[in-house]
Amino acid sequence: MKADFGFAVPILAGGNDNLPRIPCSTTIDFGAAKEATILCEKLGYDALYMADHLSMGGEILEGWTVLSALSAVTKSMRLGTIHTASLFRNPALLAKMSATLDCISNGRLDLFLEAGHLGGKEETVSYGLPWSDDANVRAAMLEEAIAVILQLWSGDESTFRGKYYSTEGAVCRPRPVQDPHPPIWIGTGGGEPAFTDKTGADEVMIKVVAKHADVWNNTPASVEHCRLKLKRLEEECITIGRDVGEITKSLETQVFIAKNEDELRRQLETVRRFNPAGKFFRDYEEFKQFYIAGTTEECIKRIQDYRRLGFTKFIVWFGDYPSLDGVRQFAADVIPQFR
Amino acid sequence: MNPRTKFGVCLPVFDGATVTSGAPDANTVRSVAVEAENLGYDSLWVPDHLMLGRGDSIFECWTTLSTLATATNRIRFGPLVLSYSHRSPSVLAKMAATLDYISGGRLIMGYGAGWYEREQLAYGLPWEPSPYKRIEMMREAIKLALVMWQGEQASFNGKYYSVAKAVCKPKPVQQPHPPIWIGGTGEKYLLRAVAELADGWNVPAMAPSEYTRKLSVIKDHCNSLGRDYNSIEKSMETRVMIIEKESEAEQVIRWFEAFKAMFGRPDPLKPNASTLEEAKVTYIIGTVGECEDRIREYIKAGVQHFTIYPLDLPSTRTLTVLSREIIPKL
Repeated sequence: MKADFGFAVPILAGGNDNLPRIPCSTTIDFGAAKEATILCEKLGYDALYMADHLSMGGEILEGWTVLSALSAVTKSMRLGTIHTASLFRNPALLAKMSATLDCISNGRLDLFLEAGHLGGKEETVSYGLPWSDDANVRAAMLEEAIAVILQLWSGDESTFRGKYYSTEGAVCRPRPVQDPHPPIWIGTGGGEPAFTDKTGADEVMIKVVAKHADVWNNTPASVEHCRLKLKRLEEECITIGRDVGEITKSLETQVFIAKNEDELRRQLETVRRFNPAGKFFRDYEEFKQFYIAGTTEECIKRIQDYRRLGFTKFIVWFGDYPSLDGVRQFAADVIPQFR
Repeated sequence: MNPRTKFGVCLPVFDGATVTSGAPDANTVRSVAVEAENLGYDSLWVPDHLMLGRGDSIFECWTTLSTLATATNRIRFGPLVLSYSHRSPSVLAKMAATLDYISGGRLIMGYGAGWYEREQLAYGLPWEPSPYKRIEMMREAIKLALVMWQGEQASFNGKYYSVAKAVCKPKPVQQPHPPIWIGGTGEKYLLRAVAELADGWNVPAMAPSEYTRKLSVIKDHCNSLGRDYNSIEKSMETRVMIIEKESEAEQVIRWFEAFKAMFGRPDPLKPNASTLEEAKVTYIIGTVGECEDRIREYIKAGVQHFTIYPLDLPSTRTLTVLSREIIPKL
C-alpha cells in the first residue's frame, strides 16, 4: 500500500482558537520552520505544505512568500499551500506566480485552491477584499479562476471573458515545467462538525472538485466521514461522467503519536484549550476518531484504513510541534510501511 | 566626507536582460544573487512585470524575491519597483511584512505608479489611464501599508483602498517600517510623492545633468513639504558592462538592436542607443577606466546608490571587476 506524506510546516503562532493545529506552539519561528523543512526532506517526506491566510485573526506568515522562500532550501519535496484562497489574488497573477514557482523549483508545485470557506470571511473582508456569502458565487469564481490559470499555463496568448475575471491576449512565460501542468488540488471541509461550513459550501465545492480537480483534499475527518465524503464525490463524478479514479484523494490531518493511552490523553489536554465548547471534538473517543492519534501501530492501522478507501496522499500536522519527536518517529516507523 | 556610494544588482529575470541571456534561468538568478552578496554588493533588485523581454518571458517578481530570503544572508533586496495594482495594497502590505520578517529585516519596498498598460489590460488587472490618479493610488497604497505595519489592528478608509480592523502580524522586523523607495520621473506629482513619502528615489538611467536637475525638483518639493532632502536616498538604475575587446563591443551593439526590435513600442527599458557611442552615453559601458570615470560623473551628479544590470551575466566579469577594481577606488 503506497502513500505519500506531506509535512505541514507551521507558519502561524499556535495561540489561535480557530484551529488546533499546533497546540504546543505559541510563537512564530521561521528559523525553526526552515530547519524542520530541511529535516523533513532528509527524512523522506514527499512534500511540504503550509497555510495560506492573511490573518486568521492572529499571527501568521503570508503563505506564498514562505512557500517561495522554502522552495529554495528544498530539492525534492513537492510544494504547495493548503487551500490557497483564490480570492486573495487575481487568478491571472496567480497563474504567473505559480508558473514561476514551478520553474524555480524544477517542477514541484501543487496548486491547491479553494473558494474561501466561511472561516476566511473575516480576514478577507477586513483586508478590503471582495467576499460573497453565497457559496455558489464563490465556487463560480473559483471555476473561472481555474479556467484562466489553465489557459495561461499553456504559454500561449490567452483571452478569457468571464463574469468575474478576464484576460486579453495575456502571455504567461516561462510556462510551468510540469507536463501538462502542475496538478490542481481542490479542498473541501472534512464533514466533521467544526469543518462543515453551515452555509452548504462543501456541497457546492464537491461539484467543483468532481469537475476540475486533479487532486481532492479533505480536512481532518474520521474514516467514516471520509467514506461518506468519497461517496458524495463518486456520485458527482457519475453525474458528470468523470471517472472518480482519475482524481487523487488526499487527507490533511493531525498526527498525535503516543506510547500509551495516558500519554495520548496528556496530548489531548494540550489541544483542549483550542477546542472551546467542543468545537472540534467532544471527547477522547472523537479525538481519536477524527485525527490520527495513538501508538505507532494504531497510527499505521488508521492510515491503512484511509488508504483502503482510496486516500493516497496525506498532509500531516504534528501535535507536538515545535518538538520534532513526532516528525522523526513518524518518518522512522510509519512512512516506511507505505513505500 | 560623503557617505560610501552603494551598488546594487538587478537580477536577470527576463529574456533579454543581458547580452547573452535567453529565457530566465533560476540557477543563474540564484548564483548571481549569492555572488553579489559574496562580493559585498549592497542590494539585489527584481523588476515587477508580467510580460517583459523577448517572448514576454519573465519571472514573477515576488516569488523570485522571496527565494532571496533563504538563498542569501545579509544583502538587502527589493522590488524595483512594484506595479501598484498587481496586488491589493492590503495583501501587498501583508506580503511585505512577512518577507521582511523571514529575511531578518532586509526588505526595501520599492513602489511605482505603473506605466505598463499593455500587461495590466492583458492580465485583466485594474488600469487607470490618468498618471495623476495612478500616483494618487500609489500614495494611498503606501499610506495603507504604513498603517497596517504599525498598529494592532488597522483601519484605513481611503478613496481607493480601505481595510477594517485588519490584523497584519507578525510586523516587519525593520522599525518603524521597511524603507520605502519610489521609482519614477514625473516632476509635478511623482517627485512630490517622493518628497512626501519616500526613503529612497529610483529612476532609469539618464544623463548626469538631467539627474541633477531632477534632484533639484525633489529638493523644491522637500522644501515646500518641510521634509529633510538629505533623508532621501538617491539612486539610479543603469546598465554596466566592462568591454576590452572589439568583439565584446559588437555583442553590446547587437543586444541594443535586438532590444530595440523587441520593444517595438514605448518602453522605458528601451535603450536610447543604436551605436556603441550612444550606448556609452546612455549607460556605463567601456573599459575599466571609462566605467570608473562615468561612475564618478554620476556620483558628482548626486547618485548615492547605483542599481545596475551587469550586461554580461551569467559571466560575472563585470560584477567582479566593478567590485574589486572600481568601487574600492571611489
